[in-house]
Amino acid sequence: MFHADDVAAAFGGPVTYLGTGSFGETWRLGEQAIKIIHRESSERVAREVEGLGRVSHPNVVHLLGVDQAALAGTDFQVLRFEFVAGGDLETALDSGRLLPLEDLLAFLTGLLSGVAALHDAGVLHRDLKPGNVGLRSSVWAEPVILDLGLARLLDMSSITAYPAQVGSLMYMAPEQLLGRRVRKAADIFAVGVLTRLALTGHHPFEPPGRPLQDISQLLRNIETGPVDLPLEVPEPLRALLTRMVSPAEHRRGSAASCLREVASL
Amino acid sequence: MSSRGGIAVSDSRGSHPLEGPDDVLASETASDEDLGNEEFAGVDEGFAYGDEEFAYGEFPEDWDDPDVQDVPESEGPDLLAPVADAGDGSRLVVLSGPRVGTIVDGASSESSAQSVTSPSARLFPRPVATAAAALAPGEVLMVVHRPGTYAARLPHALARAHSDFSYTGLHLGVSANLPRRGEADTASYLASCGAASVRIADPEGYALPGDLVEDPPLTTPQTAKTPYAADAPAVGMPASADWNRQVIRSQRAAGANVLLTPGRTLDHNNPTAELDEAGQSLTVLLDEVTGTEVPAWNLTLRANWLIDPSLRNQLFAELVDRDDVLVWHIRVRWPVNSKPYGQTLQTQLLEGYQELAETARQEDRALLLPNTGLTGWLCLAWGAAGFGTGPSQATQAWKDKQIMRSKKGSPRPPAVQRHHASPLLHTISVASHLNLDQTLPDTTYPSCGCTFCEQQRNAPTWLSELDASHAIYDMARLSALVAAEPRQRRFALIRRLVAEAEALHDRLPAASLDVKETPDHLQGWAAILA
Repeated sequence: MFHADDVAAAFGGPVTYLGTGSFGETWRLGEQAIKIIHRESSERVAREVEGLGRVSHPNVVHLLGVDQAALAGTDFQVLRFEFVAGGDLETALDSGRLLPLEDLLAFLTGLLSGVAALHDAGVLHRDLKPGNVGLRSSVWAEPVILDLGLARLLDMSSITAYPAQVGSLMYMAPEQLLGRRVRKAADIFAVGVLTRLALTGHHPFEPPGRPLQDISQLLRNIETGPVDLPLEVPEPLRALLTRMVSPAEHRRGSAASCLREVASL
Repeated sequence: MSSRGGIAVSDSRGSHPLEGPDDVLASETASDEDLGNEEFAGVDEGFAYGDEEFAYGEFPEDWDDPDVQDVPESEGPDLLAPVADAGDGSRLVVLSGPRVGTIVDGASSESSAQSVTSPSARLFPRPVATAAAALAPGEVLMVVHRPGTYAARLPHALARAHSDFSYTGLHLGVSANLPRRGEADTASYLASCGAASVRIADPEGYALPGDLVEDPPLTTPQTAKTPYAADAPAVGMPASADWNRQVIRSQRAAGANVLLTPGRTLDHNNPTAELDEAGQSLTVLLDEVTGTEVPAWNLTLRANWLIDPSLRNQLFAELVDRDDVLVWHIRVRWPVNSKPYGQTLQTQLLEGYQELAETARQEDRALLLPNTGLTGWLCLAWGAAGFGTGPSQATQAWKDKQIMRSKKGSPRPPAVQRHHASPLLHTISVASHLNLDQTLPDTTYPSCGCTFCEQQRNAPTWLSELDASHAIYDMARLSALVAAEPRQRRFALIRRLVAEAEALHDRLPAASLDVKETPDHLQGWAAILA
């Protein structure tokens, strides 16, 4: 981890450490979130984030630019994003907050809309998880997708080397876990898991009191089906949120079709 | 031969002895090429005669008897409808009179012609929609495949169907096999079908040399005439972008307004690579389409793609993922069905079709099921947008054939003429149809009141060409019933029609239908719709 003074010197202003994720450290610089990429070549990063510049949507964090910065005598790729104040889904859940039922539609619509915008721009996120879903101004109805499109840089070897990334596995679609081709449906799966988690506080494929032992068990639980949602959740939404976490990709539906279904409710 | 009120029923062609399985009858109107094993209306695909087996013959194309004249439908002014693709209403399709089916220039049309201005009344047909409009979510499209025989009947039948059913919202299309006739002939034919919103020049990837199915195969002259056929990549080899563009441009030159990817049969032994290859063809197509052209992802599959869960899931995942194309044109090879004009009886295949159609509806994609006939019509219940049919067996189903060998020189059994009977949702022999028509009250076995059947009743002998037109009209009538219903009620409607057909069959007097023509599919349909 870099020293705050070094980061501040590199970027010309006071910074606040936000955290370390799959690809590097994130610092706040005014109204920007600076992600310093630890390990990838500039060419690869530039290639992977090329599509993000095409996305302009209130539920997707805005990529401001791609730079280079010298830190500790080494050049690093830097991604500049807008800073989304209000924390993320992970911190909300850790503090005991759950998604209220009255905000469910707005939260789900916001996430799906953001994913739809990414997909329309030809971008797959691949790493949607609680830490990558911001809540603008801590408002459930304004989810913001963070850490875009870098997950293609994520591979199994890096998961082994960086244990912090293991958390991503819990939100991966079965085809991702099996190392198969990843399509847009993987992001839909993640949205379904995140929404169910936000509602109940429990992972849909880890029944309360029965922690998962390994990926194989996770895969078996996905095949079996998720833990039921509370009956207070209206049946059409329960059906949609169950479909979205189907092991069969096509049954999850596209972001567009899920949005149509939500809009009809 | 059977008789109807003293009228002899026979094929209007008279008798034409076949020389043997390898010989081809020449037709005055056909070119000197072999045009393949196209079946035409009213003739069995092949059947056993006693203990002997018979080979498939090869039938002449366009067997239109020049001595048969259409009875003019009306002596009054022509009924016209605008063709939407002209945008300004300058092109009109003639829906009645001697010029029925043709396109006329609105500016120069005769003063006696009656233009259509009111789309609301049943008597006034709606304009012929653009291809994009016909394929919009919720619309119903019936595509008629150009048959080998009686192809000249199609424009008139389509015009008649448009005239009578467009008020329901039904759209019509025409599909012609591009390699068999070439670009110029196909373009002329597609242009002649003025009532068709959708015009497809099918590249027939599955018929190209080396394809997994290659049925019906292209002849040497056809292959030579179609550049992309001669240049087709070998099985298992990827197609170049240039070759894909060649296929697309050939369709364009043939007058298509819906352009397809080549449609080579996907090898289920290598699904990932095959779907990738198909995806690359799609990317080339999307890059190539211009203006009002509508791109369609054309996939050709053996039935196991819809039956095997792993294959099916992989296929459907890819279909949903490619959200840059709205039209799926999916042709499925059915297993052998021994009954003439029989529907597939494989429950698993029907379930595969069901899930495919439901996925298409969920994703607001237009699923077109070419060469599926009544089974394609059934799929409208689950959300398919359209299906392909026609007057012949080949146009109504694309399936593995029962190979029957003959003794050279053996006479072929007499052809059995068949009639599309929508009350039974089935095609039965003309003899059975006439028997039912004469012995059962109209409330039980409704008479068809279409203009072609009216002409048929007044004809001295049974005319297969009129029945070919009736078959198209009858399918359009069934499709119009569906089109008239809101999407959410189509399932219930089709379920009711299937139940009614099954009930009718159950009420028929014993031995009304030959055992070979019982509608076995109805029970399975009723079960899957339950």
